[in-house]
Amino acid sequence: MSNASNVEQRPAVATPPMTPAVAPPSTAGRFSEVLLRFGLLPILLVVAVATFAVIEPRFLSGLNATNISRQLSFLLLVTIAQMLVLLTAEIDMSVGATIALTSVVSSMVMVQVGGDGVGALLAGVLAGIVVGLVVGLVNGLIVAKFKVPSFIVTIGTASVATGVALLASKGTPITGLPQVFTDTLGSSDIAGIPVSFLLAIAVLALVWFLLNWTVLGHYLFAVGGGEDAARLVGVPVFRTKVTAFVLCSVLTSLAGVLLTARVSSGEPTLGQEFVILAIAAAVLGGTSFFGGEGRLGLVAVGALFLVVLSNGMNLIRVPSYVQEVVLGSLLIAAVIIDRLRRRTVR
Amino acid sequence: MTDHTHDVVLQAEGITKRYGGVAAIDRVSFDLRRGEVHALLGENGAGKSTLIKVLSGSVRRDEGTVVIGGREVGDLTPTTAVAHGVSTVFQELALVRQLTVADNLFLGRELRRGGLRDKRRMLEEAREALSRIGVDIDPRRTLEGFSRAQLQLIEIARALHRRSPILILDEPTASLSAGETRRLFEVVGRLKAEGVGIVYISHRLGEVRELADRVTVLRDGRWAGTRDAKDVSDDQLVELMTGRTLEELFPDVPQDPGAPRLQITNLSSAALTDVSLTVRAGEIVALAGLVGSGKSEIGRACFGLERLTGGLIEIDGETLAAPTPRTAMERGLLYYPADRHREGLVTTATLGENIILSSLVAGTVNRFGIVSRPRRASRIQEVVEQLSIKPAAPERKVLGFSGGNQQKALLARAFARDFAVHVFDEPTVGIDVGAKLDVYQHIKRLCASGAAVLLISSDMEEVIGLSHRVYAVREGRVVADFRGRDVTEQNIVRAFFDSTPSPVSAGSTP
Repeated sequence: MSNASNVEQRPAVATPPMTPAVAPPSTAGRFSEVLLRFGLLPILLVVAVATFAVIEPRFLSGLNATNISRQLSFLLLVTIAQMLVLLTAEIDMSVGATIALTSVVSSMVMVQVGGDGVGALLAGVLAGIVVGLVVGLVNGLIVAKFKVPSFIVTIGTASVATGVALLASKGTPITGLPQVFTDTLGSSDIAGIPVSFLLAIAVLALVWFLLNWTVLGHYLFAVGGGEDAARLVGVPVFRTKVTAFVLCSVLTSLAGVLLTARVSSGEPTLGQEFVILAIAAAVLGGTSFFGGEGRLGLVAVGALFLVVLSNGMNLIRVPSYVQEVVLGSLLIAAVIIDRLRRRTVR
Repeated sequence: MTDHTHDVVLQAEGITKRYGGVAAIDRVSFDLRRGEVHALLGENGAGKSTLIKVLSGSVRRDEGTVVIGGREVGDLTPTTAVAHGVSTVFQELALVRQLTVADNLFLGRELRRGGLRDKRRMLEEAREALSRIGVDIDPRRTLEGFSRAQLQLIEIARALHRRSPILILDEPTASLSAGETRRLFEVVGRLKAEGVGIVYISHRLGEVRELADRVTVLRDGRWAGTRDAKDVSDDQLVELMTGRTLEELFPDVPQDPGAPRLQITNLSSAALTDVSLTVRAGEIVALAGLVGSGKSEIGRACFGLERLTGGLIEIDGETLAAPTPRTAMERGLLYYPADRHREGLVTTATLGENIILSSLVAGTVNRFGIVSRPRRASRIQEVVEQLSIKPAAPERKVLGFSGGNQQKALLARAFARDFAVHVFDEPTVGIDVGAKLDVYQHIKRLCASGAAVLLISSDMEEVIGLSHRVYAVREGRVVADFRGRDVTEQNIVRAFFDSTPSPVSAGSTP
């Protein structure tokens, strides 16, 4: 079948080579160049902000900015997490369940430790991180060891984690969390900026450093871009994949802890929507589904865009059912654009 | 069965097929008579497969005419080729394992009755087709569990059931055992007697001698000669296949062998049997063999890419047990894969990323897992200059570079650290002459610095022009070694095509 393209290439028909890099500096050319480099996303973001601002002036208020930044902090964390796995040409479908399990386990630990001190808070956060470590290790080890599709494996672990969360909590929210926990991580701010958002930005900076300045960062791209090639250069493929899954789950757990603080209770059904949201944000931000390609900055913009969109649609009272339709359509459009972009660049 | 009527069933005239400006076959002519076996011989890359792809319609010819059954045919596609009566059994079998034998035989041209599949008639006709070639197989079985030989026979049955007067067999015995080969020959003999014209492609001179009425030899994409099989000697065939002059392409690498750096003893795997060889410091040793001979597997085995069942690999006198790419590299052995796109390069990444990766692994541009940006940039710059990679644009995607420059990105690995042994697998496949020269210079430099070089190559000029010694590999064994004056194309190719029948084929060992 691979010969098909050769068959089409008749010598008489001299098709000009496609080299977008040297396109003439016409307006149209520059526009398509920007489109190729950054995708549609920045344009979509500007259009969305403008539209909402015109229809509903409250959209631009300081209060709403705080709202958006708070909502963004959770999605940003999970999106960065998912991106790390997508880079290695894998996917983690268990981020939603990881949030739920984190929420239940950390809440139970805090209730168990009791009191309203920093000790309980730290124990809860630590327990949440441990949940992330365990889920990530299980996902990563199974995927890397048995070379099975991560899509299926992580759907499996998602089901297990959800089941455990429901069992442990008996299906009901766990209340009575320490005030210091819900206050500090859930609702306090520094100079008007929510603590959770500051944490997410710190993680963004750390992951940026990881991807651009460390050997592990290079390995993540290499493993996703060509697993066999990476192995033959001597890249520790197994270790790199496991690390990607562990980092993903731990960052997701961090989001889970912050969400738990926000809703002030341990919820066995928390976070399910983050599976599709994070994938959509990462792909909108140009992360390739086929691995090896993605830019953190654009991925963060992808998360911002989705939060702005949902916040704006809420403000102008778009029914939530309609919002679901919009989100799904966006996700599909994003992968098609990813595909087209890849074809053009080749 | 010796009844030769000389009517031509297929005539191809001046067939040319170019891939990206390079002619894979160039004005090749070929004809096939009713009831004859016409063997097609040639080295790898001589154009045999391109020619049969043209005749079977899987690639479109650029020039030339094809006359089938007295009528000129225009563009051939796989469907029209079959309609004209040309059936082809390729090495990669086109069968669906989950379907039954009968369903496979009728795939794509099911018999119908009132819009539904006529199962009963298909079953009957399938039985008939199978018995015609003397195969006892239940057509109701699915293909699970059939041997490769049986599958091949099923495919032949399918081809014949179309009542094709022309049958093309592409290396049908490549993975058959001696007994299975016999069976196939019987079938071929029977078909010939029925008047089917058969194009038979093989690498084995013995088979060609036994089966063929005529032989056409291709060399470098051109027609080198057509002979009556009974009038031509093995020597003449080998000369037809190889006779060409060496170009002044290869640097003179002074031969000054030192201590053994790579020593392989009795290495065995699914594809290899008791392979032993030595490469010394400052020596370029070639592994020559046809595609599928196992020469590549020997190199891959040293790098942990082949599951070993026995044997010993020693680097500088120290055993390399259970190698992986990482451990092999730690011990000083580096393998440059033949498949640049799948195994050689991270295709999504830039040239610079690909160059730097091996240095990251070796730890030469990083400390505590943190990459020093300036060191990284200067290292990339250095390699790009040393290997004269063009354009010198490390930020560009590696896929945008020519094959030769992609190959140089692979060579960059040599700079990650000092390696004792360099194993090159087809290092110049698909690259232009200029890049070839750079690759050879690179190999020469490594050799001069005291490294041992193992060169795995299907390019006979390269083997002879570059190496100090040559091991010939056939069916997973080292069958001969040559040095000095004995390193000639004639000698080496003769070792590939040794007409003594093989005891057991490589594919049938468990």
